[in-house]
This record gives sequence, structure tokens and C-alpha cells, in this order.
Amino acid sequence: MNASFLTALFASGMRQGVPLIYGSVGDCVSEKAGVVGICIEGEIIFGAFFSYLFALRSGNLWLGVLMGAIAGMISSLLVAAWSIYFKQDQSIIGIMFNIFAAGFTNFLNRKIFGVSIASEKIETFKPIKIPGLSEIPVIGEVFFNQDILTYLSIVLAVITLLVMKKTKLGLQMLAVGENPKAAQASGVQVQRYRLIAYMFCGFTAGLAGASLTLSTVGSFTEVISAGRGFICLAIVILARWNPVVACIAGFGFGSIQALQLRLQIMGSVVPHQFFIALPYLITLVVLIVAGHNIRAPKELGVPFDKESR
Amino acid sequence: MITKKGLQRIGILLLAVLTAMLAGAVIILLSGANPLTAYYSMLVKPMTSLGNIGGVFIHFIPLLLIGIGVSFTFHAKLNNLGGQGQMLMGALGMTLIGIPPIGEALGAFSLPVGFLVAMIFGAFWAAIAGFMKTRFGASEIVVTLMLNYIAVQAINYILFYHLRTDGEIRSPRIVKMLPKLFEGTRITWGVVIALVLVVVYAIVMAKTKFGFNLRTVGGSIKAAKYSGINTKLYYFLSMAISGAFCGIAGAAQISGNTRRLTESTAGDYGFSGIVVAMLGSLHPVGLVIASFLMALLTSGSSMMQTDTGIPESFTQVLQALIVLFILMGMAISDGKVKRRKGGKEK
Repeated sequence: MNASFLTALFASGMRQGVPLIYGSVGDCVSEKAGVVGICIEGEIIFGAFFSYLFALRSGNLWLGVLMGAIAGMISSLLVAAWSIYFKQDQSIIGIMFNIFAAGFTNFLNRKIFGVSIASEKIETFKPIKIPGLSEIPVIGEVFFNQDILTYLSIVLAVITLLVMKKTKLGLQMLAVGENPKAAQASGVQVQRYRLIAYMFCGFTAGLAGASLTLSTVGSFTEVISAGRGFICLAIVILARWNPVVACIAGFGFGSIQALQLRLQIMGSVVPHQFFIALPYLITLVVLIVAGHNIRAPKELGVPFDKESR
Repeated sequence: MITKKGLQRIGILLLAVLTAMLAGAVIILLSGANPLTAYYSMLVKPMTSLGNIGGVFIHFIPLLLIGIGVSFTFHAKLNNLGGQGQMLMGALGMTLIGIPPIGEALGAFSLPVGFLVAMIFGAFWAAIAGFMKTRFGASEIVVTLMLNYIAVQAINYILFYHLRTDGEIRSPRIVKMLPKLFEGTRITWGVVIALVLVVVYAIVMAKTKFGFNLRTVGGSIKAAKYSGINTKLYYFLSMAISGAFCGIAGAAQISGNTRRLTESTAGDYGFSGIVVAMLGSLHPVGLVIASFLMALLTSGSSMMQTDTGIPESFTQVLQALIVLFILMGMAISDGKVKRRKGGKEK
């Protein structure tokens, strides 16, 4: 294990972490407003498919990113309708939505691109060297020689944190998750804020999907998200609902993924299946270790009914 | 006797299935096929020959067993998304007992022993999630899902390094298979096992203290909140029992259908089982009907793909839509959707 190995490992870890960062930033917000992001997995799949479709057909990566984010947001409206308007259990809706998302994108994929397994590759986003900063040894290569979606994910996390902590919108959002009845009594439209939370989370999950296809993989494969939406949920717990800490955790998980990929190729005495399972095992460990003594938003996952007392 | 409330529920379920099929028809139309032909291939064709009906029952068995398993957790207001992993573990248990040398040594006994081991394996895999839920407060949704991915890799490892056969990543064949219920069809005694277990489920939920307490924990019986039931114990048990049933599904799949273990033995049954439990409203008879319908959809989807070019994954879309429309129907009938005066919806 020399320096160049580690540099390459963490640089790749940062790239692998980007979808996780987008997903968990969105989930931080939605959980603060009392909405569990079970549906993120499905929104990532939608985002991944539509960003790939539009980027491939138009030849414009940015149009792909935009359409991916919009697809994630529009699909979140479906979840929001069932959760906010029909006041049903968020878990069941999320589970069904994920099945729907996987089925529907597979359906469209087969319909539009045919049944061939090897899908067309697109040119992914190129790394941009940040002048000056990228010259720093190791750190420069890891954090300042990445593509634009990586930088945007960090900017998004910082802005989200500021909005959550410093603005009226953010504080009202917190109130909606902590004590919706009091919030409602003081004139905050609980349902409207939860809708915004859903849409924001859908938007970022869509970006997560776009970053998967347009900056990591370069093509769409069925069930491309591979549980990342759920890893995001664990990251949010680990980060104590703080978007910037979630960035660091996302980078950590990305690095585990990168390490896993490298160890598979290098070959070792440990069977490769163990490495593939590693990110999922770590997620379980995180839930055990980080799940202690935490205070989740009080009304997390509870449908809000104005009329109920 | 069916109560008024029960009748209303049945009405909602039927309406939900019809609405989902209508929505599905729109999707089929938009993709340029004829919905009638598609639905004919999907729903009627699987029943037109004895061979095809056998194919439906192949899916019926695991769907019903996982549906029962998931129902146990639903009663406690928990979600078991780990059907796939637990079924794989059960399948592994049956395979280890069924293949030579143990399978040869045990002969016909390898079947009951295999089912028992499968049950324990499945229960163990789900119990991890139950333990993490009760001990650490970890979301059982995330944990069971992670355990699916881990189970797939564990099975792959065992197949790759220990059970590999003829150079392929699959286990040897098990020695004894479940006998056929009707000679010349693919319908095995697995159907009887699954139906007997539905009866067991019905009795446990309706007649035993365990069933009563489980429903109390899930909150479907009010005013029992302070009755001193050990909630955590019931959370744990419901999860483990759920896994046991999924494990049995794995054993039934190996000994009644595939004869050997592969990575894809569990298919999509884990998630379809959730749909079965929802559509069946956790009611024993409902579960049987729902799993038959889902088996029909699963079995018919490949015929539909051949006949009309509609991809098989359409089934998943339809399944999800059915449950979503059930939830919508329940919301409306429970009065959760308020209407303003003058009939304008708000």
C-alpha cells in the first residue's frame, strides 16, 4: 500500500461517494420534515434512467442531469400524494414505489433500447482541475480533480445546511418534523412543507441517479442503484441529519466501495464475494454503532392529520 | 360470517385490482400493443393447458409461503423486505441436506429434515434483523434489505467455492424431490404443504394467545397498550417466524421445482410476497387468492412478452399499482380524504 495507491483509492472513493452524498443530503431535509426517504432508492433509479436517456439522445450531458433531477422530483410527487394526501404508511408506499420504479424503468429500458444487455456508453463528465488547490499532494488529487457533479454535491450540502440552520424556511421545516401540530397551530402549512421536502428529496435523488449514469458508469443497467438509496438512510443516521457531515460519510462509504472494487481485481485470499457484500455489511455496522442514543426527528414517518387531536 | 366492513374491504380490493389493470392497459396502449391481447396472454393463457397450470402452481407455492411470512410481520406493524435473502437461506438449508452424501444417507427423510433446516436457516437470517431492531433500534426495512444483498453474496460464495458442479456456479442436484400431487403435471405436494401452513397461520392468529398478543403489539386491538406484553419479544418473534416461512418457501422451491441451488433461486418472490400480503389483507383466504393471482401474473408475464413484446417487468408495475390503489381505496373509505362542502376535493 503506497501513497499513489491510496491517492487513487480515495479519488475513486470520492467519485463513488457522489450519488450517496446527493441522496443523503435530500434525505436529511426530508427526514427533518418528518418524511422517511424509503423512496430514494426508486427515485435514484428514475433519475438514472431519464438522465441516461436524455443525455444519450440529445448528446448533451447537462440536459441529462436536468431531466434526471426532474424525473426524480416528478416521481416523488407520486409518493407525496399517497403519503400526504391519502395519509398512508410511508414505509409501504416507499416499498411499493421502489418496486414500481424498478419495474417501470426496466419496462421502458427494454421497450426503448431493446433486450440487448450491453447498452450504449456515453462520454461521462470530465474531471476539472481546480487551479492551485489541485496541486496539493494527495488531497488535491482526491478532492480537487473531480468532475463538476462532485463539486456541485458539496456545494449543495453546504447550502442545504445553511438554509436548514439559518433561514425561516429551514426552521419551519424542522418544526414540521418535530411537532407538526404546534407548527400547524402557529400557521405553518405542514402538508405544504412536507410536499416541498418530498420534492427536494426527489430532486436530489434524481441528481444521485444522474451522477451514477453520467459521471460514474456511463450507461444504464437495470436496478443500477443497487441499494444505494438505503445506504443513504444509514448515512443520514450516521451524520445525525447534518448534510455536511453526510458528505464526509458519503465519501467514507464511497471509499469502501472503491476499496472493494480494487481488492476484487487485485485478488486476495479473502473471497471476492466478501468484498462485494462489504458496503452492505458496513451499513449494518453503522446502524448498530450510530443508532445509539440518537434523537431522530420526533414525528418521523408519522402521517399528519390536521383533524386528529 | 363476512361483516359489512369485510365486504367493503373486498370491494376496495377488487376495485384496486381493476383500476390498476386499467392503468396498466393505458401503459400497454402507449407502448403500441393491444391491452386485450396482452391481458389474455397474461391472465387466461396460463390456465389453458395442464402444463401451463402447473407453471402457475410453481409460483403459487413460494408466493403463498412468503405472503404468510410477511403477514406475521405486518401484524406487528413491521416490514420484512428480506424475503429474498431468507428464501435463499432456506433453499441453502434444503440443498445441504438434500445433496449427497447427506441426502443419500437420509433417503426419504432428507425431505422433512431439509424443510426443518430450511426453516431454521430462514428464521436465523430474519432474526438478525429482529435482533438489530429490538436491541439497537435499527430500521428493519434497511436491515432486511441489506441482508438480501449479503445473502446473495454468501450463496454465491458457497456455490463458487464449495458446491460448484460441472464447472458451473450451481449446486449438485438434491437426491429426493417432493412427489407430484397429480402425475404428469408440475403440481407437487408443495401445494398441500403451503395450504396446510395457511391453516396453521389462521389458527395461530385467531385462536392462540401468541396471535392475540401479536395483533395487540401491532396496534390493531386498542386499549391493550398497557397489558404488559413484552413488545420487543414479539417484534423479534414475528420477524423470526416470518423468516421461517420464507425459509420453507426456499425449501419448497428446491425440492419441488429447481432441484438445485443457484443464485437466482429466490427470484422476485420476496417483494411479490409483500404484495400478496397486502392484497390478501393478511386474511388466510385472502392470501390464497392473492398468491394465486400473483402467480398467474408472474407466470403469464413471460407469455405476454412472447405474444405482444410487452416486457416481463410490466408485472412489477402492475403489482405496485395494485397495492397503491388499495392504499388509496382504504384512505378514502376511512374518511382520511376530506371533502369540502360542494363536493370539491381538497
